[in-house]
Amino acid sequence: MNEDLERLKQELESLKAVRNKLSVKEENKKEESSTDISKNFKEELKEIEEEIKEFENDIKETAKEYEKSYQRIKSIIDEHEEIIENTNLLSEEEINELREKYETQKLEENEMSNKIKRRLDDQKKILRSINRHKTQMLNNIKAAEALELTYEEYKDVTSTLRKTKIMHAILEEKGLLSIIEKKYSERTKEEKAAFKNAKAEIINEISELKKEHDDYSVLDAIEALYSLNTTYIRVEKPKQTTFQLRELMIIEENSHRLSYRVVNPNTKVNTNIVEEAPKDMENATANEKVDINELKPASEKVTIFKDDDTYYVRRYAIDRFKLKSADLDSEVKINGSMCYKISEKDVEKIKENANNTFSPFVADIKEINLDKEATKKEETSLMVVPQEEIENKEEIEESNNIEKITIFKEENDRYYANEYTIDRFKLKSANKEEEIRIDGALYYEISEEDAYKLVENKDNSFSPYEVYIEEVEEKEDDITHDETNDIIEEIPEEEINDIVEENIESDKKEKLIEDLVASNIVVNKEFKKELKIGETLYNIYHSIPRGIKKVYKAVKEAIKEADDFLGGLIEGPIKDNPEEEISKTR
Amino acid sequence: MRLMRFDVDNEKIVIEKENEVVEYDILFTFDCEANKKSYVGYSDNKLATNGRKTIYVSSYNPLSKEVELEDITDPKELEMIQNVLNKIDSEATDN
Repeated sequence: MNEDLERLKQELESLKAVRNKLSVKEENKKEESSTDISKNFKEELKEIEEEIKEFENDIKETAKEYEKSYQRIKSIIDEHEEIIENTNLLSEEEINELREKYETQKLEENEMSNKIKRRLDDQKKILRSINRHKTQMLNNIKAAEALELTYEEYKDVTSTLRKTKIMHAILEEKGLLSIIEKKYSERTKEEKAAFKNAKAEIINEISELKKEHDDYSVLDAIEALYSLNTTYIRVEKPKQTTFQLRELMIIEENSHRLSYRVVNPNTKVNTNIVEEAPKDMENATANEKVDINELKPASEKVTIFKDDDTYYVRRYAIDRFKLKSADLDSEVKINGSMCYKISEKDVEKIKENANNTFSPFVADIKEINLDKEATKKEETSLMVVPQEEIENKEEIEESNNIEKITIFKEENDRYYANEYTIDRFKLKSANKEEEIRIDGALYYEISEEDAYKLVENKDNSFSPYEVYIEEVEEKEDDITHDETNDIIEEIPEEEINDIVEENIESDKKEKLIEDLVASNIVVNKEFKKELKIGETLYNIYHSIPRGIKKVYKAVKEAIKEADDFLGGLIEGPIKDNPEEEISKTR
Repeated sequence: MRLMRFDVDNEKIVIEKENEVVEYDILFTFDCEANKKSYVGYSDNKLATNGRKTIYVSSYNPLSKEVELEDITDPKELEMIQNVLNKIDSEATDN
């Protein structure tokens, strides 16, 4: 039992020893920690003290230099006074020279002395600043040790006035300001515990402050600057902010999130081109988009002004219809707009094309009196818009028809479009040699690819139009290829007019002769002479004379009559086959 | 088969017109292989009210033994006739 008791005592002693060792270690750790806390401060303080020593040495050197300068000035003055005392031995010129030399030396030395003095003053000023820094550092070391903060923690807490105020407010609230004055070793356990809690609270409070500060996104601030939402801008007024280069680099890297890219801070050149706005921004502004279709006019109104027999149109109409007759020198002001003279032929052209299917417009001819127009006062930008123009504008805005493009398709997959469509869409495949006439209008062949291009692009957002593909009907009356139509136009059904006066284009004729080609053309000699003289005009009929009963071939009749007269004496090939004989005699 | 032809310089077309026989000078003839027709241009050399001389152009079947002049209504034939007339006129004028 005693043995056991002894053994337990020994174990207890050993445990106590272990506990003591651990407690010693803990104390040592605390001391080490305390040493660590002040270590960085002390290093910084040491650097400051070394800096102070350097400055003190510099100041001593400068002071010596200043003293020497002072002595030199003094010697210059003494020397000069001595010379002045002996002026009787010198001429006036020599005296003047000496005086000038003295003044120059004195001035130079004075300048040197002043420079040294200024340098000495600066050094002393810096030394005082460093000493103040040293005192501050000592206080920081003391405060950090008192607050049990590490070097980093203390630096962070005291980096801004706001944080420092938070710390003091918490310590004051908890009645711990006085503890700071005590050394760590002098503090009671309660004081240490209270201070520990206060310290945790201070750190939490400051970290919250940091978090709040960090949440203030620079990107949001920039987005607010460029936001199209004016309400947002009014509420969140953009702030003037300064950035570090590194921050700007980060912004630049993340600028794809913005609707506008940020200029590269290094090059100050924005090489990134904005491709699209973020989707959320698009949604925010989608309601503000203007529907182009609503503004697109159904049919334009072209006004032609008529003054007696002279016609005028605005410049727009000239460009729109490519009016070659427009005289740009004949500029007149009508209803406040500049108008130009055009030919009557072009007026007719505009009127005739007003109701086309592809780009209809209203051709409005107004009678004007240019003499009255000339007496009108010069209208200014403050001019009241005439009611008539307002009505026209309203008509345009109210109408919402879409342009109609018609393509004709033949059975053999050949497509045709009119000249307007070819110009409108710059169809390179258009073949002007392959044309068809439909309802009197000319259409030219285009490629299948271009036809599909027209169809595919019809519902675009900037200039929508509708495409109608119509089958070409093989009706010779109204839909024909050009050559067939030419025949009908050139030659009437009942008569062929004067061959000399009529002028048919040879290229069109050649196409037709592919089917019917004349051969063995034989012309009467007398007729040839008559044509050559050219004094006779002819009516050409392609029907036999009216009232005709019989047609005889004259030579046959003559032979028959001769045979009858001779009592059948004619024999042989002439009688049996007069044609053969004719061919012989030809 | 021998084709029936007119002698444009020596022959005339005699037409019985309302119990009156009228002679027409043959001015030109030509053939068309495509439609197997021959054509003849003829005139009575009288002036119409407009002061112009009238020329009739008719087609006939060169394979037929009898001459039977026909009206021309086919546009292609008319176009061909117009071409022949132009050609005759230009050749006569050039020569």
